[in-house]
Amino acid sequence: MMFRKILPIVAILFIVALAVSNYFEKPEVASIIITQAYMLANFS
Amino acid sequence: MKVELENLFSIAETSQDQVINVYNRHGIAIGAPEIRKRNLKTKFNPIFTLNEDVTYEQVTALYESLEREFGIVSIGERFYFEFSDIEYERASLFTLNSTGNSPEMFLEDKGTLFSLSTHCKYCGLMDKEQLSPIVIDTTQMKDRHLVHVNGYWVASEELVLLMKKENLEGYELLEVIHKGPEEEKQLAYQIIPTQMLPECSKDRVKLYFATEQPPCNCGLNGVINGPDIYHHEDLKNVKGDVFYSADFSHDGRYLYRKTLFSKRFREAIINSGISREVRGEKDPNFGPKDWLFDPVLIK
Repeated sequence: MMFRKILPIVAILFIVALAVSNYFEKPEVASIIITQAYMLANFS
Repeated sequence: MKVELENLFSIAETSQDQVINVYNRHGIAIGAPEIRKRNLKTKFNPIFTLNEDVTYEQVTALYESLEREFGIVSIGERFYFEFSDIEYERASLFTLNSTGNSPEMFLEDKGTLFSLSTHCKYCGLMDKEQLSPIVIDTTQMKDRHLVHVNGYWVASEELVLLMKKENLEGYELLEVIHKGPEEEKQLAYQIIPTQMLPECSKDRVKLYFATEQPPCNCGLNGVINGPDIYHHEDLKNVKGDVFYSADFSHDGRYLYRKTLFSKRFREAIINSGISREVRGEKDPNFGPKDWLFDPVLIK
């Protein structure tokens, strides 16, 4: 059985305002937090 | 308006109850937080409301305890601003925070000319002045009506037609320069507000991340601004549907002025079916093409 490495994550959000700390490694403009479900759906 | 703070960190499953006790000891009540088990550690993301009973100073002390007692040093922080239905209904202006919960609402700048100058020599924030029309690959807009490019909003031709049909006022349009494949390129326009609002009320909530460097003395970098709030008197004579904010926003490197929109604009977007009505980031209606407007508060 193969195990996938899953990024530690909570929710996904694409907004202009920055209200998320660097813990989430935000990019310059958007607040982006990727969900586990999103990762599985898009990158597995 | 309610300010909530979410924490996110990993702990050993056996420590959960003790960690909850630390929150309680600091006067922060957290209901059963969502816990995601992963290997030996579990994700722990309690959310609580910041108010006169739970101040950010208490939160800072809480973090110190978590580090001292459990060795938790990496704590994610995320602020939510939640508005009441009355605040949505009474607002005459809205800030537009998103035109879809999807990376496709952001388009890459393909070479717009700017003149740059240092705004703050301590944190390095830069002023930028736009010298040319925005340059983007318009094929990337696909069927989106409004995309965000480096702090500017770029509208589709269909949206522009809607704005004209609804007699929305207070903006100029500047056609963008297309750079990319010729096939399926489309007309698109930067929305440039022609009016600037007065300065926000001094009562605007300002927050910072306790887990990061303190805010810069310039008052911009490291400061998380709460929702826009204006004195009623200051907006009394304001007419139009699109405005620049007098207060600077920034993307971590460059300053820009946020664009605010009227209630009429928001209603036109919803009534035309471009977006469903969304009330806050947690609203299940906030899908890949739904627009997130936050109400401007009036004092």
